[in-house]
Amino acid sequence: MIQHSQAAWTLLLVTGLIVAAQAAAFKLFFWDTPLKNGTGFFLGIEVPPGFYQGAGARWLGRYRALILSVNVILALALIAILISGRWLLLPLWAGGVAVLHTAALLGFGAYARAKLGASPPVESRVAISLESRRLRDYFSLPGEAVMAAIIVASWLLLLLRGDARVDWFAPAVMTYTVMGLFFLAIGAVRIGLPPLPADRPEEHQRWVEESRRYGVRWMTAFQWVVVAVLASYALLHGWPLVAATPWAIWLLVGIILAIWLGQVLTTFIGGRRLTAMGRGLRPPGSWSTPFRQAKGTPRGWMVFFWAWFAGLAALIVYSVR
Amino acid sequence: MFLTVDADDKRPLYQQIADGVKALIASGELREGMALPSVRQLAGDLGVNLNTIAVAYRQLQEEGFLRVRHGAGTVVTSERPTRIEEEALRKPLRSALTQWILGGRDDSEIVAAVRRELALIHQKGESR
Repeated sequence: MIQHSQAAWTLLLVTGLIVAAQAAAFKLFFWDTPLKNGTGFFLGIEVPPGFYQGAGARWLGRYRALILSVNVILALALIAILISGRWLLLPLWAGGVAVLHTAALLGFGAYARAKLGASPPVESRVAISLESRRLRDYFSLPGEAVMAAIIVASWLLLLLRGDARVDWFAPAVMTYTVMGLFFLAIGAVRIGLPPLPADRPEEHQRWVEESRRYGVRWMTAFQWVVVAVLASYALLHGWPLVAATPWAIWLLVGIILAIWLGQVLTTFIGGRRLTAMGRGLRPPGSWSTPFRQAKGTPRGWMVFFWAWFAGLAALIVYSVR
Repeated sequence: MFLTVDADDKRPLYQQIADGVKALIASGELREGMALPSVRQLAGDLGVNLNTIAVAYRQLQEEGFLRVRHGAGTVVTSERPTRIEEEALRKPLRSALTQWILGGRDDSEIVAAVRRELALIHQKGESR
């Protein structure tokens, strides 16, 4: 627990900012996401005309009930953190918001696809892009190296000079999160998305490619937030001078806030841009080809995500015991 | 740059891919030294077996259109013979013309169609 009372109101400010961002995310997921491709689609699955006057209203209700439940759980967790004063759980909570929303969306999306999208339209003529996808076009190798160096340095600092108050689950959860996101981002580049419609392939390709880059950008930004928290934790517990210097704590909080705000902006600006780009286009996975079934997210990526998510949930539950 | 494949086309998929790459080379959209996606990427995107793409690439490699360069993947090459024996070229042309005649087209229609196709290839090359 951070003992500096000077930093307490800063943490309250951080909480306020997180809640504001969370409210915006709630609006995005609750209202915009299911209909982002227009009324001809539900979560990217093609639906018949008049769907939202019938069964669609029930589907929308179920989806929104799920998102509401997720947010109620998150709100209760936040209240518990604030009352108990376990401020260090705040970054974990902020991370949990993103992960839990993604898990809810992926889980409900897969369920809806199995029920509603079982017989999607089949196109016999399809286009495929001949552009090569190389990891170096999506990742900054120096950036990744710096991130790895910060993680290693943080661990070394904690192992060699960590004080008695080090809770080893905190750096373990953070490192696990960053590693998982790294492999998920690589998977996002490597996975093959369905072919493009032969009609307007250029526009579809630009949209699909931007979605891929958005996913990688979002995961990298998320990694940086977690790495910043890990490094701050290591400095606070491994370098007594930092813990005793108010301005140093302010600086760390400021850095984390700035990186986190960057991630929030990436989410909202990128998401809005993607929605605008995809207007009038057919989402990948809303139609099938004779060579390949319609799929939202490839199975391999999903399996890895759920395994990582289960591990993360187990670690968090164990660490807040 | 895109390849279009059609499940209703009578040609096998690997042949459609090989023909599509050749058409892009002929139109100038694919130029010497340009890299093509890996077999794994193309097979993953299209949702077909790796072998389907590998066979297409192998055929293009044997015909001198592609070369596997270490570290750069599969690239377009100009190692193919610049002048192919006329008789080798005549055979598929004759076969195609026979199909058009059997399809009930007269000579002027066939010539017009050939001109249109040639214009299309040159147009693609110029618009790159």
